[in-house]
Amino acid sequence: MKQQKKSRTYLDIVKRQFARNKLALYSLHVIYVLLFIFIFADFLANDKPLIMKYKGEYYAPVLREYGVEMFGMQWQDEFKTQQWKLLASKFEEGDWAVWPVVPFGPNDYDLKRKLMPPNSTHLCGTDELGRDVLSQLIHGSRVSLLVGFVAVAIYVTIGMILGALAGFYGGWVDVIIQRLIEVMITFPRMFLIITIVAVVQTQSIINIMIILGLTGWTGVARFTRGEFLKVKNEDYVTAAKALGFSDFRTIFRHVLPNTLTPVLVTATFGVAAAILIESGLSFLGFGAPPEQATWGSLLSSARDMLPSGWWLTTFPGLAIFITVTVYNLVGEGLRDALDPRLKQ
Amino acid sequence: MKRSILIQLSILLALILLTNLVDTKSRANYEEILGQAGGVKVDLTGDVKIFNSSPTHETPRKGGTLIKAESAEPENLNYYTSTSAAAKRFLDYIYESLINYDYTTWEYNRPVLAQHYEISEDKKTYTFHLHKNITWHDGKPLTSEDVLFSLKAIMNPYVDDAPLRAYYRNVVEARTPDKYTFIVRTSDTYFLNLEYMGGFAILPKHQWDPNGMMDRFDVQDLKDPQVFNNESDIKEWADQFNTNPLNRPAGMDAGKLIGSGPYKFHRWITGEYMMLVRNENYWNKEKPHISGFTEEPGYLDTIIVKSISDATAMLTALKAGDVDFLPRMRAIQYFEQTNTPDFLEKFQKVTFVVPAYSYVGWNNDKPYFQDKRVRQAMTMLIDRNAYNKYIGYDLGIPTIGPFYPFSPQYNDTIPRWPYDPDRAVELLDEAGWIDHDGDGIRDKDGVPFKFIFSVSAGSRGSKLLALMMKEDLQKIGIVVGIRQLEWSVYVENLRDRQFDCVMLLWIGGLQADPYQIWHSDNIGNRGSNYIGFRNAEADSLIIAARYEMNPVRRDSMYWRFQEILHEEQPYTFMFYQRDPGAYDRVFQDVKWIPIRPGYNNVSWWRRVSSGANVGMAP
Amino acid sequence: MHGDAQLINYILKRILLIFPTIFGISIIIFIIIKMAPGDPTAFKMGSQQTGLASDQNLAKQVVEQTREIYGLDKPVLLNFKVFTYESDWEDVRGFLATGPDQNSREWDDALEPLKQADDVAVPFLVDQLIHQNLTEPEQRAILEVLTLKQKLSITPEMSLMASKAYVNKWFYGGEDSSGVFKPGAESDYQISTLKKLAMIITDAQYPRWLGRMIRFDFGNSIKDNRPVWEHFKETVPVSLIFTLTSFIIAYLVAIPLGIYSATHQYTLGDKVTTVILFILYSLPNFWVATMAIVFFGGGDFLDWFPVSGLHSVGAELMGRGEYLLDMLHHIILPLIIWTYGSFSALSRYMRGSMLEVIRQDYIRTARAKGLSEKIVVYKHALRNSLIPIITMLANLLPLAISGSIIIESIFSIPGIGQLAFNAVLYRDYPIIMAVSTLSAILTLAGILLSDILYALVDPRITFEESR
Repeated sequence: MKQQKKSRTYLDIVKRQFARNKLALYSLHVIYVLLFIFIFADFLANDKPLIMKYKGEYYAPVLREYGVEMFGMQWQDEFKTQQWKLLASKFEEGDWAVWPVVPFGPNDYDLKRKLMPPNSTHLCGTDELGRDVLSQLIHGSRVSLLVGFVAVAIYVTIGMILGALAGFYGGWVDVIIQRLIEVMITFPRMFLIITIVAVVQTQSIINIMIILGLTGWTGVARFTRGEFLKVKNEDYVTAAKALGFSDFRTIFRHVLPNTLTPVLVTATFGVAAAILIESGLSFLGFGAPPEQATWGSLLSSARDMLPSGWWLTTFPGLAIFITVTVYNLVGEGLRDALDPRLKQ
Repeated sequence: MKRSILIQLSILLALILLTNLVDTKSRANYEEILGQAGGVKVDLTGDVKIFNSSPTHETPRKGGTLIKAESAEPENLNYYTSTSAAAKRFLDYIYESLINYDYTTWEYNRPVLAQHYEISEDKKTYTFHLHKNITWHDGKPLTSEDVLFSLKAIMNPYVDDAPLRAYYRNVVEARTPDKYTFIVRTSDTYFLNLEYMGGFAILPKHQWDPNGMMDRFDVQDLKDPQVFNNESDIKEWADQFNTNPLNRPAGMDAGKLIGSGPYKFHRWITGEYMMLVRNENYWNKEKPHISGFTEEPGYLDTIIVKSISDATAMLTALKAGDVDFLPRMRAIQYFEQTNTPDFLEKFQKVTFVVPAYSYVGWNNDKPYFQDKRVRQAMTMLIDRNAYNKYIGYDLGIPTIGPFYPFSPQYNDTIPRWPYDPDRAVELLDEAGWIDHDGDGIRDKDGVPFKFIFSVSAGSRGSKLLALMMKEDLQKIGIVVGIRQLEWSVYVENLRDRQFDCVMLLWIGGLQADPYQIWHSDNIGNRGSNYIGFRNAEADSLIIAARYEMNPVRRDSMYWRFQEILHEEQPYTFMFYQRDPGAYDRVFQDVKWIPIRPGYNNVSWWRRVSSGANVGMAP
Repeated sequence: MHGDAQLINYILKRILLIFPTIFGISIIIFIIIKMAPGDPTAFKMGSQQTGLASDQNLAKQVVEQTREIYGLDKPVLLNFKVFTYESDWEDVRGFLATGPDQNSREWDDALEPLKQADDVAVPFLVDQLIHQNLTEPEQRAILEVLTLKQKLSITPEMSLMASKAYVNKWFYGGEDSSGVFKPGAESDYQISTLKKLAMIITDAQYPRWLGRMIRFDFGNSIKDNRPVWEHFKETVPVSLIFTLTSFIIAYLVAIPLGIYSATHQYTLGDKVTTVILFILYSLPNFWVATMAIVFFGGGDFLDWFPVSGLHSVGAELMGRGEYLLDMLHHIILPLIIWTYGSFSALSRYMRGSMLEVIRQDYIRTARAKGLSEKIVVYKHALRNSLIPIITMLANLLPLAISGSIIIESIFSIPGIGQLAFNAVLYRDYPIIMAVSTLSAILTLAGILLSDILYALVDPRITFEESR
């Protein structure tokens, strides 16, 4: 009980400290917005109506994508082709539809609308197939951020476990894990990644996440190990050991939580780095498959358009740039807030 | 605190403004863009055989430099073993063959090293009479010995040139009765024999085989394993040839690679550029050098090939004057980034024909594409004209078959399959691909119509087409998946026939032999008929045409063959390609031919420009 | 002295520990190559319209040679095939009875055990071929194994009879053209049981590959047949110039910025620096590079820098000074774009390290002694906070390769990044292996060196595995 209370006050300190850093705070709000877009991408940009009334019945085509049958209505035959716009043009008296803010899917193409600069219909313009850039950006955020999250989650997990083992047990375990770390950092990471992507043959976003995850854990491992070395001899660990708790319990219940917060900082930076790496991979042709737009792939495929199609590079470029910057700023803010030594 | 956010915002704004500035012209609609590019469209329709995009009445001047940009360096400069087109484009100025294309007739019969030649009654023996005054760049005479040596080098089974060697399997005898006569005999009457027997580049024997290691052997020995396995010299020489330092004559003092042609190899600075200088002692003083094409064997003092891997950097280098000629730019650059008056004043833009066609290949052995009605339907589902117009900037020349549309081989009486989704849906229904289980996807015998469109990572055009098809076909109940593969994996899958649908380009010639791609012999064995086209009549037509020496009769067989292809639609034939390029207007008599690479710099000459000459003297 | 002994002990331990790491590296590279699909011959054949079909034989040979160089034609760890080939042959016969296509994957896979037995199985196979009554596919199969593994020059055009006659003469001997009997290769294939036992270990994939790796024996590039070393000779100097200059610039810019941030913690200046550096870090470099080319390369805007390569055409004829200037002119743009991203990480690192040192007791003491802030910062704090930064130099090589891939391909700079990237695209295994092995081993050496230096320089180090 006592410990919990203590940690809560610690959290409060951290919060207060973080809130004092306005830049980081604002960045955090930007991240909230990004998360919102990330989660609700399908409801923000889609060529399907959110809700519609057709021949007296209500339907929610977007929700249906998630397997949610709203209103329990029978799916009409004419819906199968998914040509909602066409359907809407044939609406009769009493039919209506509510469309998402951006009423275009990321892959809806219309050659006649090819390469249009930003205008009232297409706020961020269209690409060479006449696809809406804003819609691609919104859906691209999913993949781009997901790559960041998943890759980082993978490598934080690996890194923490290995680091914890190395730091806690020391000795041979430590020596072996240290060698593993050494092996990983001696490879040129980008080279290793493209080699593995090339080797696994099918380019899919999941592969990229896994590869980024498998190649990125050394930093976290080293960090966790260091933290463990520090806390290993602190009273509560010694106490836990003396009480006869299993090693597992000691590590995961008592020591690891204390190193969790600093790792969060690393993870925040990691998300930023992963987004950048993904964009680099896209540029090299090792990125996500064509029908899955990511910010990186949007940016790299629009690169040839410069200088004519400025909107094609500017918006994805800004998206990457803003996201990476805010993640870094939040990470920086977190680090400052968490680090007792850096307090003024 | 607030101030730093302000700074951040202002930087953002500045960035947006900066990029906005780029788009100086207000965008016109697309039709206007296609029209306003301000370039010349090179149409070589057969009536026009050579197209001069910078004609002039001035007397050509000798001198000056041409710097052209290419995207990749060749891996080596061995004419036979190098597989890159860049090497051949470069070496064609250094080496010569016995005969070559006659640009004015598109026939392969212009004597070069050969003064004249005879073909025997049975069309199997080819006798070439060489000019007597030919000299290599080092002054030594070129004789029939060199020709024989070159043929033997190609035919040496250990030389790393298998794709080339395949064309010389039918050689049964080659000899040199005297220094200026070369006779080669073949076992069959293959209609491209003259092109192959007279068309290989002649390498100097004294440079590549100074000790005469190959002298002891004749062409039969090189085909007989009993001999070439037991004679270590054959392998040893081939190894030397494959790894000869001359294959990569890089560096400053690299002027050693010699040929007989109008240009001499000068230097290759790895990763930067390769350089040719005019051969002042060229053996052939006869005029005109190539009748109807150029008087001189070369006006330019220096030709430099600069390697620039990035397309944007390439165009920038042209605009900056670091490069004079871009043989290949991106269509978007041609149509949207080179329309300023400044650019058009300084550079001439052209779109020229290189005989190569794009197609979508359907794996005929996959359940969905077995039925020709389905394949016809697929063709009618691809809006090829819209694709050409919007993705290809109207650069493609529609084709119904594999032959060059302006050659006599091409059957121009066949109408293209129209874009007709309604008819396509009918055909699909007819073929039994109906949505039986009501899941919105067509199926037949329990197989849902879901196929994978494999695209190569580097190919933008196929990626865009795949995306279009995915969207379009979904509407009629066909699911298209897109798989992006790197080239080496892509090719491997092709050869193993592990694919549903691909989009690719075949490079063709003015005269093409469909055997490798269309004959059913080449289906297995990881052959080029990887889509698995089988048709007994087509097979027999292909074989008969190969050995039919009468061009009219041969072409009529090809016409019938194209009718079969059209009906069967193993491919959806897309377009013969037009490459967009641009060059400095200071160059005159810039002539275009439908023979790779589409131009020959020997006709180009550089007008003395008022400004400083950007090039440099060797 | 006790300390010295401890130090020597530590260094020895460090050196010994390098071997398990090399071992680990070799395993990773091995796994990568082992997994790789994609045919290195694709580029040789793929770009050609014709000749694909007929080159099957050659393609198989090239693949086989590549596999042999890297020992991939053997079982992974232990090669028992040297004892089991006879029963393997029966399996193959069973497979052949199903009438497979000679050019299918399955065919190749089925023949694999026989190929793995290599020389050991030759007498048996030849005996089967010559003296047994085999079906045509069986004969073809044996011929293929012999041709590929023994490098016999049997071409697909040769008839079965001719091929068999050839094998017969090669193995058992025969009369040459002058009628003299020449003994065949039979005697070369008498392999003792002891040797066979040894082959179980030595003739397996991984041991072979390890042997090659340790000897730096990478062979020739598949793409152009030149030794891997030659490629290195060309590309390494270029990359070295880049990497070194870039690192010098990065350190020169980032360290002062880091110090500034640390000494002016939480001031406006610190924040602005932070934000600007993060902004720089966040701009994808290929985008910036393209914009830079468009804006500064002499297109429709400013003509400040050349945009491709390292030299102008004809630079090699210039005087030394002019040559260097020309190169500098070419190098500036890519260098800036390559370097700007690393400012942030370095200066952050410096800032953190500096802040930590400033709080140390001895700095407080120095301050307390009334030394001026400048002296405290630059003499005491800086020196000590630089140590961790300098150890980062050990990772220079992998960073150089990773970082240069994109920039080198945009600016057409023939450095190691392009070499490595193209090698991946072309499946040029010798180069892939050489690049990764060399980078790994050099980096390892760097880490070792910096660890030792670290131990020597910093008295606070306990010799307990400190990295």
